[in-house]
Amino acid sequence: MNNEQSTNRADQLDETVHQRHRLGILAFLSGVERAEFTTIRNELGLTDGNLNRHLALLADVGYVQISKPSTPGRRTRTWVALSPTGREALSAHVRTLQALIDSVPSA
Amino acid sequence: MFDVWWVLTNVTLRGKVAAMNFAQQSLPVAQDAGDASGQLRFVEGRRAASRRLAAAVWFPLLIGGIANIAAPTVVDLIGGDAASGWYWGFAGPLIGISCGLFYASRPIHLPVRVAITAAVIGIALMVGALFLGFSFGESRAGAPLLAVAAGLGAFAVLYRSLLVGLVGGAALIAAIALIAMNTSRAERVAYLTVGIVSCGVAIAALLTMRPEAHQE
Repeated sequence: MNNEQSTNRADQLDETVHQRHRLGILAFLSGVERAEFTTIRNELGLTDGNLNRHLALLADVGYVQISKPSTPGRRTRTWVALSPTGREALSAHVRTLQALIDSVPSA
Repeated sequence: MFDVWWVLTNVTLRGKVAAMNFAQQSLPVAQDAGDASGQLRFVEGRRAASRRLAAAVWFPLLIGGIANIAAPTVVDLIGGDAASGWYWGFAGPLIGISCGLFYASRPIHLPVRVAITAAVIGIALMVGALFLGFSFGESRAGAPLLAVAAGLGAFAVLYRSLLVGLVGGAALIAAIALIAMNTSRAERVAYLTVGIVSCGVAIAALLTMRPEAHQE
């Protein structure tokens, strides 16, 4: 019964969120208002290409918002922020994980 | 001999492949409580790391520490009963503006709610230090430290920072000791102690940050 419940709950996990690097990006952004591309890359130990690929996917589904405000005479910074939809998706993922833990009777 | 070499190589390769799969692909699908709690720890760890990085408590601690170290000398130079109040009335806004500019220039920003709360605490700290500095009677020299201690306590809760709480505790003890003794020598020692503790904690916090976090 518990195995069935666990499998059902595991099926509820959002694959977009569940992937290790994407989960790391979303979790990292959930603690702040916004972060610069290079900071996320350095903190999560990703390459530019890898982070770009994951961010493009997350932006496509509306989980993150990417902005590049340009200031004359200054380097253009790429800012990434978690969108309300992304925050909800991460919360739902965390709730599912918590439910999975709670479904196991303590010894 | 060959068998031993084959087993060792095979085990090492399998370990490497497993590690690469974990690092480059996805977390194991959470089908049991162990996997799930591991993932929850992973999420919490990343969230805490970004908050810690955005809070950058080393900067306000360093600036505040320098202000405390400079306080006795500058207060002596100003002279008069309200010298402490004048000093903090000037140093407070200067610390606030420095912190504002510092946080605005950071490549990672605290949530707006936290930033607004921090600004409110900073203003309350300044007004409190000013008020106490001007109007705490004979013990006014130690009074601004009480406001500093209260402010640091609030910042410690807001930033969830033990280091800030540690400096707040040092400020509180110094303020109580200073008010109890109420001598100019005690005042100098109290401000210097708080300043040195604050700068020391700031440097320790700065040194323990991951170097790649500073890279642009």
